[in-house]
Amino acid sequence: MTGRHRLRPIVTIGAVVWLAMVAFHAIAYTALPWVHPYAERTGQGASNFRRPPSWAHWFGTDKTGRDVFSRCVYGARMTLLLTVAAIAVAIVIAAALGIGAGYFRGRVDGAVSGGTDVMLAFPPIILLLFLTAYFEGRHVAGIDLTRKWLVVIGLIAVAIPQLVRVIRANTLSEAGNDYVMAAKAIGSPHHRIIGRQLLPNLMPALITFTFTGLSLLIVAESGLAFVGQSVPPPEPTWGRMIADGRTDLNTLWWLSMMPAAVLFLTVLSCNLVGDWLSQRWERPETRV
Amino acid sequence: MGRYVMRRLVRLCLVLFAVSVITFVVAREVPDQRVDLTIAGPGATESQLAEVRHQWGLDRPLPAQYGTWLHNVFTGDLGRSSAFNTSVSSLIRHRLAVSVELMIAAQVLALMVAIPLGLWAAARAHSATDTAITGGSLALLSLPPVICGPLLVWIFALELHWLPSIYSEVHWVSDPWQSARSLALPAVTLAIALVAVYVRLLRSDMIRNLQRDFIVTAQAKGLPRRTVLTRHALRPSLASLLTAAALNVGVLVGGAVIVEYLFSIPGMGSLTLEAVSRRDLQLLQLCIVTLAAVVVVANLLADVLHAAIDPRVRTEGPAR
Repeated sequence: MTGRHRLRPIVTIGAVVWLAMVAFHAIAYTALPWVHPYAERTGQGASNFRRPPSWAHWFGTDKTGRDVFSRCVYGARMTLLLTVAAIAVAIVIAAALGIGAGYFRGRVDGAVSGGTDVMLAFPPIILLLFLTAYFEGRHVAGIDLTRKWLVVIGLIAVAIPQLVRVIRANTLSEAGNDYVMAAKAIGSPHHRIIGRQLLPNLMPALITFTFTGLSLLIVAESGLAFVGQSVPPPEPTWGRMIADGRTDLNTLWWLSMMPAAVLFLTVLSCNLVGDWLSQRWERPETRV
Repeated sequence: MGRYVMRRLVRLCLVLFAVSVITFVVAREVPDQRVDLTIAGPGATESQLAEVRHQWGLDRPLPAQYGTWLHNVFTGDLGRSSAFNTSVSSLIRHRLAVSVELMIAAQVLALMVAIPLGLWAAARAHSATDTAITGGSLALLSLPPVICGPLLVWIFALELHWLPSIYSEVHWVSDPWQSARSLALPAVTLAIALVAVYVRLLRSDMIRNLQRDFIVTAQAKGLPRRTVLTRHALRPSLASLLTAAALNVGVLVGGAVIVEYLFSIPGMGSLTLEAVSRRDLQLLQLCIVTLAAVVVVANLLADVLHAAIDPRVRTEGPAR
């Protein structure tokens, strides 16, 4: 009970600060003088090639003179855009399915669990590869399915079954409580019990899942980008920057390792915040 | 037990059926990959195309085509891949063997590291050691293959020159040392995230076990602490650990795609990526179904294993 609790607040604050910083860079990048001079979109414009990290180029420059720091910021923009959009949609759908399955049980549960079983049979990156390979360039429901759309749809499909599983488990234990029984006894309709009793009590779990799910999706997207199947160039993504730099690791280590460090800190921060929230709210089943 | 296994088996078949139908329908319906165009070649007339379609059974209704496909899968006659110029079934068999070897190596490695660490952390719960182990495992959890793969290559292959950075295909019977050396970095890369999952699981499970009555009894009998920990507390936790190991095969398959790409290992993951880049979408469908089958069979094993060890599961249904 000692060391852990003294260290914890500092680490968690660090994680929140890091996430805020990444989000701030992703949103306000055009106004930031330390990002902008080198880059419109690609980070090109630096006069120096293959420079190691320095005061002028915090993360060094690559073979064509692009500033790695600027590219990391644009990568942050793309990665966060894709994953945050996906998790926002996924958490709403998964909450509806998971709470429905956990509350009504029976047939609803059977259908939802069967569906998630099928979706869970696809490992995340395989599901993403499947969607991008077969559906790219097609038109469905008026949407031109570009790579960006497909990655978002794929990430939603990756997140949903995992989220449904944990939300369902939490709903099952929550719906067994006396207050739900009492609400049923006084004749509250289902929508009232779910909306007024269950949802507020599940809120802490849902917020926690948003962070753990976000780390899951960031990892999945970077994996897809690593094998070159996420958003195509020239749009930089962290995963592809790591993959591109790996052939020059022995001389230009910063090309790969700087984006890798940024990715690591971001995933770690999401996990730390998720872990902290789940301990704070004492939820046992909060790991996606 | 028999009935429980049957129930799980039926579920497995249903899931696999659904996966194969979904991928089959999608693969046949993609317009720019029409099989008849691929076979007849560009510039074929409409009547030639119709003949090809008839010859290959592509004009039959989709369920009938699916039936033929399923029959071919079970008889192992999947034809030849034009992109790879070999028989598809032998291609998949070879690639799968390589991937399974890699995954088993990673799984064994992860368990070998995680069990002592989890035990240690649980035995000294809330001490500085425990904080270091749980904190460290949270950091490891944030090291997906995308990050730790290049990092390990940089440190151990390029800077220290201890291990090769590229996989060389030597059989482990003919040259075990070379084979182990070339598998070391890929297996460690795959194992790292798993270690974190297993340590966290084992630690919390054992801390729960250590508060049970039978531990108090064992301690009251005057058994040494070591015996209480390994014999009484670890045993029941191993069941849930093995289940978690089988359930994590999905994570392993996903990681294998990245690791095989990074180290140029000719396994299922790299075959899947090659099928994508060569636009061989029929082969891609087979790869996806094969990998899904690996995951689903592993999950079945997890359920059966869990039920065999813990009788409560058989009656209550699988733990979720």
